[in-house]
Amino acid sequence: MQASSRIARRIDDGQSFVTRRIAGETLILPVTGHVANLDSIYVMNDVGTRIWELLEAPTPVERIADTLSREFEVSPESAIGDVAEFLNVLRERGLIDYIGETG
Amino acid sequence: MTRFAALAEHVVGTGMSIRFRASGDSMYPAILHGDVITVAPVAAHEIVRGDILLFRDGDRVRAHRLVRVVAYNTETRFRLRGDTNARCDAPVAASQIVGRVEAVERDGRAIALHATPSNGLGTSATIRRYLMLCRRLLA
Repeated sequence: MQASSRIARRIDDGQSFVTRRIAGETLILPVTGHVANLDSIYVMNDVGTRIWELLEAPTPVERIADTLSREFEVSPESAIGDVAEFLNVLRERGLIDYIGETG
Repeated sequence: MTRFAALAEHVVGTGMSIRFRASGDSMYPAILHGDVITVAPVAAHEIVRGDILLFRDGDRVRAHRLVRVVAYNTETRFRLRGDTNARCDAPVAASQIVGRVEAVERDGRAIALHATPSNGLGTSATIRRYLMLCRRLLA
């Protein structure tokens, strides 16, 4: 559960990706050299979209899991595991990073 | 509008270019099915005959070549046509134009993209359709 205390944040330099909400989904497009690649769209469902919203500001992973546990009525244990897994995928794609841990 | 069309319009509207894999054969041989094309924003006054323009057509987008510009009441309309198509698309308003195709990549290599006049000096639509048929038979 080490990841649960980490603080995650979007890597949002305004140039690396474009996000857009369309028909309830959040779409993320990687951008390279001012060119967005439409063959590499990341599509987030409602849960992923909620996590992405929560990451508008740096947020502890545990707090994200708590929020999802309440809003989507899943157990805290399940939520923390799913959130950590999802965030790791986002980090592998270069969309987020971790900037520290909560005390 | 499809997700793709909405996204394409939004991104190019922000001033960025988009890169994606083309589908269909209407622009053969300039663009083949599976080629990767780059579309950049373009101002209406920069558009010239022969440009390949990405435009909104109902709930989808198409990339066809500009054949001519016509006055339609008090507005300008663009007449576009797929290189293998016999007929032009319905007149397109400037507001429907998403951007201009600036680059084509095939098998990882850049393909030269030249504006081709569609005034009879280029390959006729009939010949192009014949070439398409030959290509399909050979495929």
